[in-house]
Amino acid sequence: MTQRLRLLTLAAVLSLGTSTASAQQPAAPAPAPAEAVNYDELDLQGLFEKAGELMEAANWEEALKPLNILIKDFGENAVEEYGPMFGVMYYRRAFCLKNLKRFDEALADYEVSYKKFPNTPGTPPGKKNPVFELARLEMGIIKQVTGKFEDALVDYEAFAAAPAPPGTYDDTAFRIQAASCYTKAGKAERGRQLIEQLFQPTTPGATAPRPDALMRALLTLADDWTSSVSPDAEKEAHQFIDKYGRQFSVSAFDMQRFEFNNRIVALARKAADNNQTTLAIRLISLMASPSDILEDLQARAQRMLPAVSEALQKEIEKATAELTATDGIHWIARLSLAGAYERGGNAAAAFSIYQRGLQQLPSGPHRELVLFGAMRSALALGHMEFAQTLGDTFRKEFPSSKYAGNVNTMQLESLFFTRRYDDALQLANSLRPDLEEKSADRDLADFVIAASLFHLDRPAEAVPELLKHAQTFPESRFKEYTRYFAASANQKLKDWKAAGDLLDAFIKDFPTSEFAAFALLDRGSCYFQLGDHQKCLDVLGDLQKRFPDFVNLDTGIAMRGDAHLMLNNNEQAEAAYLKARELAAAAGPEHAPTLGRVLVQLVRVSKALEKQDAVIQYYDEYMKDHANGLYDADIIVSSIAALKEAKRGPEALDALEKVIIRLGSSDTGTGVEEAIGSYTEHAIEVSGPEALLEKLLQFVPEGTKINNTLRAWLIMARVDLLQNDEYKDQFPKRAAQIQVAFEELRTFDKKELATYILVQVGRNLANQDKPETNAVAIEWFDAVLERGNTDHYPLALMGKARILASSGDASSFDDAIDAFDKVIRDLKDKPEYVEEAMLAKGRLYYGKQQWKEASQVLFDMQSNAAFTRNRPEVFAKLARSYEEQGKLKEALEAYTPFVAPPFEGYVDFSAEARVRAAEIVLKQGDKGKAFRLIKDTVSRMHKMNKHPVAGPHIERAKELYKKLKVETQAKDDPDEGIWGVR
Amino acid sequence: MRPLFLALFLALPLQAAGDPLPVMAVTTSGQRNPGFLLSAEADGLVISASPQGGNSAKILFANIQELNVEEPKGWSIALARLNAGNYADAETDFSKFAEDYAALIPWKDGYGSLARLYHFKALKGLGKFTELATAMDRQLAKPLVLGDLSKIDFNDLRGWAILAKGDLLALQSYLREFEDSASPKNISLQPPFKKELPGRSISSLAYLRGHLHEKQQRPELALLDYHTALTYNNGSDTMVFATASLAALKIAAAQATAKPGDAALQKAARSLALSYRDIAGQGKLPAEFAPFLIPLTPEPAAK
Repeated sequence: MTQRLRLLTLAAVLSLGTSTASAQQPAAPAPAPAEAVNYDELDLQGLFEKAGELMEAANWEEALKPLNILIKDFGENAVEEYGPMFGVMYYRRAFCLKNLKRFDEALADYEVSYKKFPNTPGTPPGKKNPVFELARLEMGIIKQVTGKFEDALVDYEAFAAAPAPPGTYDDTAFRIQAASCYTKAGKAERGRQLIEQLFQPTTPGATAPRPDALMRALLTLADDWTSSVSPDAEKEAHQFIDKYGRQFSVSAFDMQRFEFNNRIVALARKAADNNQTTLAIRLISLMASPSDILEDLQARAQRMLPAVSEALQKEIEKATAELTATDGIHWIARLSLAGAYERGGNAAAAFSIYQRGLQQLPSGPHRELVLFGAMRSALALGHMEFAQTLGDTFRKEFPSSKYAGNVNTMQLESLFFTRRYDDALQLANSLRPDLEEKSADRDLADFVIAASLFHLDRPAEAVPELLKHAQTFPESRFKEYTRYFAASANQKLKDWKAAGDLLDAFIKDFPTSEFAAFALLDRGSCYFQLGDHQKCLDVLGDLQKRFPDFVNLDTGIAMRGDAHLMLNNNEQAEAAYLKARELAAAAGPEHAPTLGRVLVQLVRVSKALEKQDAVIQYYDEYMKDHANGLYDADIIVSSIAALKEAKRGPEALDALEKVIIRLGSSDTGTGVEEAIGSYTEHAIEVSGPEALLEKLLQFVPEGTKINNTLRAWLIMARVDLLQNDEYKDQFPKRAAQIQVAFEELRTFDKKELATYILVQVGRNLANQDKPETNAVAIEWFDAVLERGNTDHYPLALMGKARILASSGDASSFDDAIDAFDKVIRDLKDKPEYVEEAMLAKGRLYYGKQQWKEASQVLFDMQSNAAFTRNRPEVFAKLARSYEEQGKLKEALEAYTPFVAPPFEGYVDFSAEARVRAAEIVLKQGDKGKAFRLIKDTVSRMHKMNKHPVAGPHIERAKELYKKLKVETQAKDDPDEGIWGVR
Repeated sequence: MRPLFLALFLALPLQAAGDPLPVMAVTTSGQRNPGFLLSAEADGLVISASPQGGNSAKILFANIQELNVEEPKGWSIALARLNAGNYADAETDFSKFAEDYAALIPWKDGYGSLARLYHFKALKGLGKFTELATAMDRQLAKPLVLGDLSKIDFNDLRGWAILAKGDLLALQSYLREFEDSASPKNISLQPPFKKELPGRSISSLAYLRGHLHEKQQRPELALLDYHTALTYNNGSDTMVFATASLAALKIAAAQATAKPGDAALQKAARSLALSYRDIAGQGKLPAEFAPFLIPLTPEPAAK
């Protein structure tokens, strides 16, 4: 080994090939098998050439052998003997070590090459180390690979300051490499600058970076943006792409060939995960699609015609296959794009992608996700039928999918939480029968049914469902919703007591619920409605203390004002309204309705406090900022006295007229009823009834189009005015006028009329009491009943029941009984209607001689002490019903009240009752007692013998008296002559 | 020889206005014909020995085995601009190429026809549909001669030209050419386009159909198609993306405004506003849609 020839012409050797530094090394190919070589036989040149040959073949391990010998045998005094150029040996060995991932050893050799063999001033050109600068670059690369980013940057900066000669390294790759290192060292800004310089216009004559290098650089930056937690990173990325994206284009095939497509998909997913939705979408738009790639290849082939290379043909085949592939990077990209859009809230964009998947992926690894996603986005878009079909297909194709359970749940939750309550209700109802009791899915289905009914304003159906859900699933994740909705539903039903109890429990159980403040507000409302104004004040005070920032606190404080007003605490009411005004004004336009109402209340309380100026002030404030609002009519009517005082009465009346016409010109006519009521009430005072009637006939200026709601209410207002007995003298022909008005109302479509008007028309028809008008009246009452629980439901129900009861024909009997039962059941809070219905029902049974049924109804009536209006009739008919059933004891008990005051005086019933009682006693064998009773009757009622009802019973009593007197051998009474029984 | 000379003489006014392109045509008999490409006719290329056009001869296409024509100066740069979406510069470039090489139009997929085709593409990219329609009408006098690949682009451009004319019946009829009416209906809410069409064509067609739906007062279907246009080819055509997202945003904004309580509609409008602003609008959004950029506050299911 020591005999080796030391060549002085090392420069010539080196020219055989120094590997230039590459910042981004391609993947090392597999080493070529090495031939057995006896390195001892090689001289320096031989060793060097062999090492180069082995390196060319990427046989790094084997290449180390000659290099090690070279360094060992010739390295001792190399600087002196060969000059800096010997540094190449260390550089080459380092290069091999780097490729073998022996980074520490590689770094040591690069350092030797750089530090021990520098090109000092005066080094002759032939002895210069040609890889001196590159060794520094490689030192940086090794340090970066091993995570020493700061140290690497020192090397990169040094290299940038004194770079290797052009052509010995790839400047673009260096910048990208360094930029990446800066980013990892937390100096992203500098990294970005480095890369951005690549995109800047190059100096004249300089070679512009290749498009693929620019794409690589862009993706390096994208890696940085998509890792950044800075909220500006996404914006910066878009600005960069806006600025430079149109300066270069990479062909579709190159996008695939250089793996840019793959990198882009990974980056887009990273961006989406980093909540950079639009960046994710934009990155994917940079990809080349399979059809773009195929077209690019076909265009290349066209240019090569007629000699298209085999490699190109293979690429075309691959690209053609990719068009119909059910797997691969392109579908991952599309699904990632769908996910990004979906995450951003654009279900339609996601749907368009999934829909494409439905067409192009009848099978394959993404089929499941596509079906699931298509169903999910179809649901979100409201394509319910399509979603249902997809859901069914999903369940059929993937019964054991991990998403299977989610399909139902998601369908339901999505429908419900996007407030598509009709669809949610329908789906939940269809699923519920198959769900296990007390399962999580059942919990959801029950909740959706209950809460959807609530939101669909079907509180009567919602309440039992909500209560059942709360009871069955006390720990449900929906428990707060359920409990709160149950209370609210009762409020909608105006069952203030039940609502209040539920709210108390809710407030106790969920003191920190998101609904807690609402619950307190509602509780206050319930107390208010129940007339418990002090408790209302207390609970709203609690609300104010616990939730000073509650969004609807203005409403709560306004309600406190209302409660104070009810308690005649006018000063406190005024103070509360002023506070509510302040809060509502500060809350902005969304609280304008609250502010408007508060101003109305301030007018009212100012009136009570006799602050006329304040009334005018609030009126003007309202008209300035809230005119054309909900309370126009209220505020005008409330202020009119003060306005009149201020000589502004006509202005107020004109304003009210305009309000009515405005409401009457709208599509719905909402609010017309209240406004007309206020107007007529006020106009009577101001103008008198005759002028008002005239005005109502010509209320709307000629040419103004009004809706039927106003038209009907103007007629109804006329009817109400004419029916008012106070003004009967002013309207001598009012009966005819009323009838004409009702005839006019009957020409309207019932659907357009308020329930009040419907009931009034029905009653007018019923009062005519003819079979034909009765039949029509029922239609009008039915129109009210069809609308459910309105204020006029009771009147309509009773009206209908009365007609049915009065008709007397057999076919109406059952209908009448049903109608009265409905009154009894539905109108528990209206005892006067219940009493009337029970009596009517009892009368019907009685008339049909259905004694048992009659006695049951009448017994219930007599048991209820609140039913006072028809007690004599109830007792008489109850007694007779018992008597007919042979229940003489019970009958006698029921007749007994007629032998003393107060029933004794109801001769329509008492005469017969007494006689029948005596006859029962007689049947029981007690002639003496019977005689005493009949004698008492005759002595008290003998004068009634000509009475149309009592007369026949008195005559019968007299006969009985005579008979029993004989049978009991009673003595003559001196008054028998007066009684007419001698 | 006389007839040939006469033909060449007649062809002179049609000579390319730009510098004649150096050409090497190898005939089927193996004869090499170097020269300068003066013009093209329906059946062959007119090549002269000198750039000035003297001593010209026509070589029939049928006799050409191999043809190498030097690319016009600046052609690659212009094409790169077009492909990168730099339509403004590409329009200027190809407008000039189209003028310079009009005499080459009969050469299939040659620089004459391609220059015009790319000029049309640049006009489309700039959204200058009316100019596109006019230019495409004008080319009818001397129809472009295009290969199958280029015809795909030409057909796409045809649709945008129809759009510019506002002829809905023509648009409907155009779209029907590309719809796959045989596709099963249970996998799509509307007929898909033929699957052999490239993605970028389908993206365009989807926009055009969305426009038709919108004009026919079917906003829901329009919205579906606009979103297909946005996504089909990964949204890679910047003009289609911008036009479709703005059109979709208009509909979504109207829906969201009509139903302010519908959180899904608000989110959809916001998503479109954001993606238009960030991806197509260079950070800007028409003022009318600015309210939709305000982040939505999460709220409970209902109160």
